Amino acid sequence: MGGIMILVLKGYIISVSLLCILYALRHLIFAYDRFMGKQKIFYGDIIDDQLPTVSVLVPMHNEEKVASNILSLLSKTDYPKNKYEVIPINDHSEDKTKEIIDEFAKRYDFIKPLHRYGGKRGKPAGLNDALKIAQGEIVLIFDADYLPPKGIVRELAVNFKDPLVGAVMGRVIPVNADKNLLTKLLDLERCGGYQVNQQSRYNLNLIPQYGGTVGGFRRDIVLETGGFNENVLAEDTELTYRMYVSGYKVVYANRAECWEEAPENWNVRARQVKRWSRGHNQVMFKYFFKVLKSPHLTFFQKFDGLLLLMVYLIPFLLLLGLFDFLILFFLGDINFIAPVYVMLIPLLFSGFGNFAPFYEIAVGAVIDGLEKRVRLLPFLIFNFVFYSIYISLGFWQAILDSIKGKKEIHWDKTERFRDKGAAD
Amino acid sequence: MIEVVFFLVFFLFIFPFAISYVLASGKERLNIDLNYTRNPRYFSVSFREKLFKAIIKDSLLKGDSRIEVQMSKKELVKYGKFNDLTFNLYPNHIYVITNRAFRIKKGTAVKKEIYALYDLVIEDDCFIRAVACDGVCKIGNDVIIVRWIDAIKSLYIGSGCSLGIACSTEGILKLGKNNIFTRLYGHPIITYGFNEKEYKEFSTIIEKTIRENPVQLEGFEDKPVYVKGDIFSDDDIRLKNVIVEGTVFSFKNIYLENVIVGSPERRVSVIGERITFGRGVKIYGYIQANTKCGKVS
Repeated sequence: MGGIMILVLKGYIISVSLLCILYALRHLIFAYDRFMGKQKIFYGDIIDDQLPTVSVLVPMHNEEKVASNILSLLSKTDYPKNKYEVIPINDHSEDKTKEIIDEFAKRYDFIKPLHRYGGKRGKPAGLNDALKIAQGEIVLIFDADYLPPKGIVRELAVNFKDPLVGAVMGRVIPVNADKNLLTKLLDLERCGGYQVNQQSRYNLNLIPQYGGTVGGFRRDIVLETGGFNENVLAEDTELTYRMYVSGYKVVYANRAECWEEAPENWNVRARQVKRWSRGHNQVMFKYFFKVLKSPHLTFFQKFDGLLLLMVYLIPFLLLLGLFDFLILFFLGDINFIAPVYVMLIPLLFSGFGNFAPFYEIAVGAVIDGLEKRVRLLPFLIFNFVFYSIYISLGFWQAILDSIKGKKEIHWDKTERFRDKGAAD
Repeated sequence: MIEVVFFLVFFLFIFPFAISYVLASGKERLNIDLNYTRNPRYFSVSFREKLFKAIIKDSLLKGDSRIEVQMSKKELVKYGKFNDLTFNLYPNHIYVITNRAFRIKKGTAVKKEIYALYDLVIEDDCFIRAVACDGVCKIGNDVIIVRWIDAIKSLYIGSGCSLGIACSTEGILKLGKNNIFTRLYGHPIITYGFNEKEYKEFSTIIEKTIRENPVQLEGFEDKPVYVKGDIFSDDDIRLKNVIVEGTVFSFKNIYLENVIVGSPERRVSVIGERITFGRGVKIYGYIQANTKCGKVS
């Protein structure tokens, strides 16, 4: 019995090692493709006077620090105003968000506020209400802390000229990248995650991901498939997979760049990561077999789609591996396994690491010319440990949600840090 | 052994961390131009703006025809009227030509940009970095443009030219045979052998956007196929005797012959990895191929 137990424990470690190698190879291929491979052309290059009608939704809950910045920038867009509306969704705000929105609505007739002081709270619920009043064929979403450039609405909307495009995702860049070590590391992650990971998934016809902000989708598809699931925390990932299994594609638009405010303290980041993990894993439970069975996806799309679904499961599996390792150590059965696990450490760092692993970040930093920032790469091992803990907690919550059949999920708002006038 | 490895991994890492933190100090943020909007004539518009400000500020105030301008780096500018003899005297200068009409002689090589405030003719076999022209610009045969060329009124290109990264005009852009291009913009862009005709009948009318892999449409010369929407494909697009109201976009190759794309009321795009135009093509708007993968055959 004891022998079988030890065999299982050793087998588990070897399996996790193999999974890590698989992720490492995947990321190595992405990095190589972005650096050396042929880059796919963008829909964003299209110039066409016939553009779709667009509704821009901006979910807001107590956003007085940032509301006027985003509304001001969205009012300066170069998109034809007769095909454009902005719907700021004031979701139960208790600060001056409502007053700021109403002030803008008085000045610009294409700003049509939605004030929600009843019903379910949270981003998916707010979006569902806004979708009911939105007039645009295309819905674009910007979080309230984002600073969209003048041309970004056109850059995103033009992707939908292709009838097969169901959703589009732009590139996110932290505006407060220089603030502290955390924001610098987040800047590196974003750089690798967007400039390399998303771009190469687009190049290789795999699964570029819609990220819930600086992006958009076709309103009719989302409405026909039941709107946003109000009990899923990662409504963006859910929408990505919904699009793919419905036969549409998600497009990544690397040139549609938008500034965001990255979290400036580790507590806020921890809560954010935990929420993402919980939501992403909820989606994994829902879509794992749908992806496998989908007639619309190629073999490689399914493969990449499943690896992407499991991204927030891996840290939990790795932590289990660590406990597994300790058990084997105390049982005195470490000799055979130790080299494998030691080999795992650099593999973890380079292969999984965090949201955008080591060499993807390095390639992204080279392309973006971040000559100083790239020297922080060794620090990502701290992020790896930090993320492993909070992603595992999020995964555990997702398991509990699914066991308890929990329907009501509390939406944890990300704290804003912007000083007055900083965005100017 | 394992203890040593763990020690190295977890404790000695502090030193590279400390060094990398010090080396990475300082500000470095990726910048986004919040006012950026897409413009197919971007290079020339930005070039004109920078140059114009400097000329007004420096040249007129100082009364000097040689000024220094801050472009992407500091550049010298020679400003004024030229004749054949004086034109080649300033090889490291950007030329701003104020002649009502100027002709760059056959075989001339110019290392820097040229800005003509009025009409410009570039004779055969010239080698030029970039050209901005506020009037009509005519280019002879076998001319090589390294970066870009832009004319505000109209642009006529001979045959056998290499048109750099961007070739644009607000007016008509006429192309001869055997030209190589990357991006074109004109209203309209016309290839050799195009005859203006009014079609009364069509062999087929397709009411919606075509989304197929590949797309191959062929009408008759007097009865073309009429597509009311756009054409999108992940594979090749091959059109002959076709009129398309909207955009033509392929992730692979596009071949057009006797084709009209867009209309005076609607600017559209033709975008593909490789684009080949035969005779009789008219496009209102923008064309883009991978670098130097566009060809007028």
